[in-house]
Amino acid sequence: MSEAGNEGAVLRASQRCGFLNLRGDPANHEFLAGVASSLGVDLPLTPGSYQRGHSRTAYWLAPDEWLLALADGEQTAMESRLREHLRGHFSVADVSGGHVRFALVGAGARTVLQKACPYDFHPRSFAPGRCVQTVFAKATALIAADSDAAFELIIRSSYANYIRQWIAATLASD
Amino acid sequence: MASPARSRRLASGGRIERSKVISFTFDGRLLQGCQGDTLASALLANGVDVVASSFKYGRPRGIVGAGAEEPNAIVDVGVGRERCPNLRATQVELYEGLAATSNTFSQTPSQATTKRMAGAFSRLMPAGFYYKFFMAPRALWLFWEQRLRNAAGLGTVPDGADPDSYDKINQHVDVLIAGGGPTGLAAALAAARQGARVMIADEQAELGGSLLSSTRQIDGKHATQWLDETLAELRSFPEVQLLSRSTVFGYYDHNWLAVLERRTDHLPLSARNGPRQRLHRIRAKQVVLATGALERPPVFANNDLPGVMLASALSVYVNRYAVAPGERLVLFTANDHAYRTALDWLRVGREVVAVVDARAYPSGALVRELLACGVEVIAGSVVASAVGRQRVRAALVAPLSADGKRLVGGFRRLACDVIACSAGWSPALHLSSQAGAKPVWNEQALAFLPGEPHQQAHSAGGAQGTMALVDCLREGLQAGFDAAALAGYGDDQPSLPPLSTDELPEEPSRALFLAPHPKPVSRAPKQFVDYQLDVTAADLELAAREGYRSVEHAKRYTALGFGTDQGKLGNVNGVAILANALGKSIAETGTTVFRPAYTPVSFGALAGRDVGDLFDPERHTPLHSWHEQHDAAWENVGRWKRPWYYPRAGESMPQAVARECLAARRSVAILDASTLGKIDIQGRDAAAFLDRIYTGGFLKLGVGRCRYGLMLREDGCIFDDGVVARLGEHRYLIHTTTGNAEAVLAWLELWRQTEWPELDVYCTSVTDHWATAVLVGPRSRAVLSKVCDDVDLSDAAFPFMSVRDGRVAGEPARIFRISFSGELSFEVNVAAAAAQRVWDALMDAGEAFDITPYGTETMHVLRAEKGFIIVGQDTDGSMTPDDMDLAWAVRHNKRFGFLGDRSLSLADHKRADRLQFVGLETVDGATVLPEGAQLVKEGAAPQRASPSASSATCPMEGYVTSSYFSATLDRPIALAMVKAGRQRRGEIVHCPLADGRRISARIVSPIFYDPDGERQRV
Repeated sequence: MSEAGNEGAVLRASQRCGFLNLRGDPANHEFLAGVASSLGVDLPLTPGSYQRGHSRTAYWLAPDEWLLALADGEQTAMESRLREHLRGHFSVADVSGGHVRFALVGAGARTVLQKACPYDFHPRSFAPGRCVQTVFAKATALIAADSDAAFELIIRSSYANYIRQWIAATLASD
Repeated sequence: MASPARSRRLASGGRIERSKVISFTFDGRLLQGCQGDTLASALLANGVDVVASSFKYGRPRGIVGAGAEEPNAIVDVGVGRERCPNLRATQVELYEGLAATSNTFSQTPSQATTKRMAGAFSRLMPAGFYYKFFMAPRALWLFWEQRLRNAAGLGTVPDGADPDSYDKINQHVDVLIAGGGPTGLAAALAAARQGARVMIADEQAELGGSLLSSTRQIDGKHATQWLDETLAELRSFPEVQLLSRSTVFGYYDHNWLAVLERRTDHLPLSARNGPRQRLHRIRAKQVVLATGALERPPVFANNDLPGVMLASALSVYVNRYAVAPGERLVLFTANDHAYRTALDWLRVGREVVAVVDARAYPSGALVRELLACGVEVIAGSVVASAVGRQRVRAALVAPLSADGKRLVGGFRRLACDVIACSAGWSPALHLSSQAGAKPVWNEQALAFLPGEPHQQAHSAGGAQGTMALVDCLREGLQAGFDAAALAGYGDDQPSLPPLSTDELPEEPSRALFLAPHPKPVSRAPKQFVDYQLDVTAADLELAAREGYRSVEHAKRYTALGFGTDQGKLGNVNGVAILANALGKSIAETGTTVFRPAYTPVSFGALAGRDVGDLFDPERHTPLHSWHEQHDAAWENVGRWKRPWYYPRAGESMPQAVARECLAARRSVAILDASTLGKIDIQGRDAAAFLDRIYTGGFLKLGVGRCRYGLMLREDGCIFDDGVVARLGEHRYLIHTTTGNAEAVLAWLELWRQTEWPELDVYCTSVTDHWATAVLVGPRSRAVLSKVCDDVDLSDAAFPFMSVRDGRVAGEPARIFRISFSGELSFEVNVAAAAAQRVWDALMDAGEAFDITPYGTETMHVLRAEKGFIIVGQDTDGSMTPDDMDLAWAVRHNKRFGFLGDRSLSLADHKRADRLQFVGLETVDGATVLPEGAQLVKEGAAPQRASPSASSATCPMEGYVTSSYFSATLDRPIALAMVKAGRQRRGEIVHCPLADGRRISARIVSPIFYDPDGERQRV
């Protein structure tokens, strides 16, 4: 039996990183191959999943949209590299300043997510390797499962303060 | 009230802890109860008979039920800010220091008198009384409503902000089980054993439902032992959640249900910690409705006297709470089931005066058991009336005719102090009905049963009219198994454990709704159908006579079921009485629909954590803390916090804004414009896409150049505007207004994805990525050149309306030479992480020129001096480009056209007298017009639109959209929409104000400053 609440969790700001928003046609093999060779990570094609390799992660956002998380400072060079190597219709935009990353860790982390988001974070539906863009309280977040008790939160910078406050209030009152 | 002859608290038995004595107050009286009591059981144990004064007639009322159905014992709990009104004493758990107030107590003497008079003159207050006497004239109703509400005693709101915190949680389960009685527990067992994610929610303090007061055996064990073992097994499953004190109060579309969990309401104030209540928002694959049934009392004369109770409730008080609320019992029943109550009463050594059974030949096993105890059973009879003042003193019993419509003999008086009654059971259909299943009358069950489910719901047990415990258990197991299987868990072959109980078989009930009285219904003593709102059988018959033939209309006319109990006890009797009066069957009459919430829900729980500072998100720019440190006054723009102005010590807002404006016009000023919406457009067809979206031509815009873009909706009205920059061959950056950024992106995606999928184009929001520092003023080039050495900032190399990439203060930057102020201006964009460094560098570089930070107010004044519109302030969604004097930004005859193009030729859009964008100058040169003020013609006088019109109005010529004092021009300026305004320059219009002043203003060009636009091009 499980009960909501009363389990600990902490929210930590993660190291800053570079972010690129990538759009393209997953049916275009040249596009996929170009990304794989430039990035060293295969683009995830399963909805709601991410692929990690070394310091780079590709998150599936939509059937033709991904968020690439890179080492801080790498984004400009990677943007150029992608433009050089990709063929067909695509788009790359540097959105590094637009996102901040947090780690929500602890036995109560899932409960915090349940309170903030309507999505189902149970391990049967949201195992490690899954990610989802969803409503977070009255804002939005990209949430990725690292393990059963560790989640990555990628939040629009302008909402970061609100979400930090919201989580702090939730953790403080249980 | 007289103290009872002997303690009503039984010496043994029950689930209370006698050693843990709890002190509480009721209407200021200090009383004592035990741990495990509800407020109701403790009041009964203390001999408190009268707990309320009735809604309309002020009659004394006692506790009738033992759960959610209680109509009378509605109390306020807590004091001051903690006060919580409209709680059912039967559902309030007792805690040390609990302070409860009845509605009777909170009334002032004059209110009580009002009601007592109402009681005395009740013959003059028929159904629909309020409609008939108070609604006309309309204005007077407001007066009466206030007084009637006070007299009604609907609880008192707390006298301050709620000190508690609340919580919400989203849950996803395979099987949600509503109700933790035997049926629900059996369902949970079956579903849990299949491995499903199960949640079982029950409104009581402990799971178990009827088992908590049962004296039966299941599989040879006492019911409570079976309960303990079942709960232990359920707790062993990691995927099972057991929620007690949790009411499933709403069943909405797509198997979405809401549960209110009361987490601390049962604790002494000092022991409360964490959220008071938690709202569970549940998406369930399958739902088992094991909500049980509510006993239905018969209607008879004076059936509202304290001491008249539901038979099942009396058993609950005796068995679970060890309270015998009286000495001498008359049981009035039409079924075998209720005989248990008489047996329970005998078992605790009280007297059963007689059983009055409406059936002619009751002979079931329970009847025989009671007869064997020597109790008289008066068959074929009813209690036609109760007798007493503050409490039942006797029951008047008479034989019933074969058709049940009249009495066939004289009264026999039975002295008693309790009348326990049961006319049958009503399944708790509320959730099933909320989910869309229409209740169906069943003549065998004498009840409405759940109709065909429209959602993934399974009713089981009492909720579908099943009464025998063994059948409830079996139905629960089956429903739990089926639900789990449909949710994807379990095999096809149910291996459900056989269950057995020691219940005795029961014989059929007799239909009994209204016990006849020798006098006709209209003349008999009051026969209450709905206790909470004082609706009587006579009211319903009157409604039928007055033509209310639909049950929904009769309900509204009489207020049947309109109380906070939603008629849990009275509705079925009401329908039956109405059906009889209309000469229809109950099935033909039907029942009213049930709406959420099953029991009242506090607003706090619905709000959850989204209160105070977290009510709505505040969006902050990367420079937010700098603005805070520099004492910015804030303006909310959409969800953004933007600096409004930066007052210096002792400065008023007009003074600060004037200083900021003059700095921008004379030297240099700086604005944080990071909130502006920014969308990156890429793809081979980006130009063609934008050409269709915007009114202007974008195919020939050169790389590195910018153009003003105006977006219309299909109706030809202005939707948004902003500067479009071409960054590369197939790449553009478009700006949107701050408040419209999301809407514009959604609009672009709508057209891209659904209408023009053939275009190779992608749109990505980069609003949060870029921080924007806007340098404005003749010195802005000098400031920027100090911190930027890789871009030639000269007018020749970097002309107005162009964009360059470079480095500012060492950071990669994109610089736009555009202007929303009419001054020389550079908008410096850098990644958000670099924003503060670059801003600081610009401030340092500008120090020599007294660089002045400015906020949105100055931005507004500067643009108004130039006649630049703000979409959403100067426009309201009904303006065309021509209305706003923006025809120059529209290019017709494009190859593909643009969104809204065709609508611009609508006759209405070409009317000559449309409102047009103009400037206004007040004639006195000093008064600032109020924004929103209406404009009338010189000499205009109020006129009536028609001779019968109730008021006279002046013909309106237009209204003011923006208005400021311009420090640069040293006079007020305003922008306005005026009928055919462009042709009326020079004309004087008048602005009559609410305070009686009348301000005269001259219509002028909206461009007040630098009409040729020289300053931005230097």
